[in-house]
Amino acid sequence: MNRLDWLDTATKKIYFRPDRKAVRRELEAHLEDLLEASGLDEDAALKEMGDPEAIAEELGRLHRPWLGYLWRASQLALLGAAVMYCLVLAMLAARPGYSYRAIPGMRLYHYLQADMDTIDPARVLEERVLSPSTVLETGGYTISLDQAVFRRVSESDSLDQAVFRRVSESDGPQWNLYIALDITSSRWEEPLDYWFSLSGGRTDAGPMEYGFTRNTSHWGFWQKCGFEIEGLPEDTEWVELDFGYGKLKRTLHISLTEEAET
Amino acid sequence: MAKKEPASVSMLVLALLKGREMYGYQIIEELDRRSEHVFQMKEGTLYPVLHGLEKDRLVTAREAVTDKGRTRRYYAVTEKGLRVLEEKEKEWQTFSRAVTAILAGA
Repeated sequence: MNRLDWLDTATKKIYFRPDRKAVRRELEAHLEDLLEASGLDEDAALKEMGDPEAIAEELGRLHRPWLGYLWRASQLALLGAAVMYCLVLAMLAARPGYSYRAIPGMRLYHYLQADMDTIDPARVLEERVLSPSTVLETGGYTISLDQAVFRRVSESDSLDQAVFRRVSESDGPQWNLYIALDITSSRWEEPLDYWFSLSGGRTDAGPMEYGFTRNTSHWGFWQKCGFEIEGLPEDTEWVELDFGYGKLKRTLHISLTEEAET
Repeated sequence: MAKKEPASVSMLVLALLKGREMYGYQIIEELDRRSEHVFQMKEGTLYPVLHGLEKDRLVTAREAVTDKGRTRRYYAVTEKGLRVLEEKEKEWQTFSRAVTAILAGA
């Protein structure tokens, strides 16, 4: 029996491969030490080391395979989970405004869509989906226009709505503007909660301030901001959203004349 | 040394490892030297004992590669190993005192 056979035999009952290789290396090193120190030839040295079959029995009893495989399986599961986590993060980093919608359980909610959905589609007389292309970076935040919809809505015939309309000055069909912003922050859990103001107008006329309702939701690095502006003049060519005031004021310019290609 | 005495063998191995970490070949050499050739342990006895001790966490092992490219596993005794060794030493001393007393009375 040569050394390879001896080592193979002695480790043959260790079924978990990494363990088997480690024990084999250990025994081989031992054999080499013995050969070197004793001056015996290989046969004698192997005889000295013992009966490989008996060693195999003992070692096999000690190195139960299922524990090793269980350990390896749990490592793989952990690795898989880590890879998935990284992939999700990478996806989010690459397309911050959009991808989170694909992740169930994430609390960010698209308020704008909800606002728009409260209106009976039959009341929407005309709709312009604008092409969102504006991005603004300020103070660690990246603010991008996710969606802007300009639509003409008829007066509601429901009693509640009718009463509400009477109280507000609006009468008859009106143009409403819906804006959704994606805001990503370089810091975790820091929602952008600046003072906002909104103005709009035409190129040949001065800007006008408008009131709006704002809804915001945020999760971690991401924030979604929905604005609803009611009763905007139809010929409005642009609106500008101002964040902050004084020297810190930043303006997001949104053109209402560039419609998205559908 | 009789082969079917794993408890005593593991006690001897733990005692040897008490002072310093050693690899398998060293343990056999050291046992031979310190017992003045009374205990000549075979590899077939030693390695199952070492791996059993490791499994029970009485020793830990680390691998190191020598300049000759040999992978040696160095074994060191753990806290738990030291406690077990202490118990076994006590047991042995009781046993050995009893045997001595009986032999002296014979």
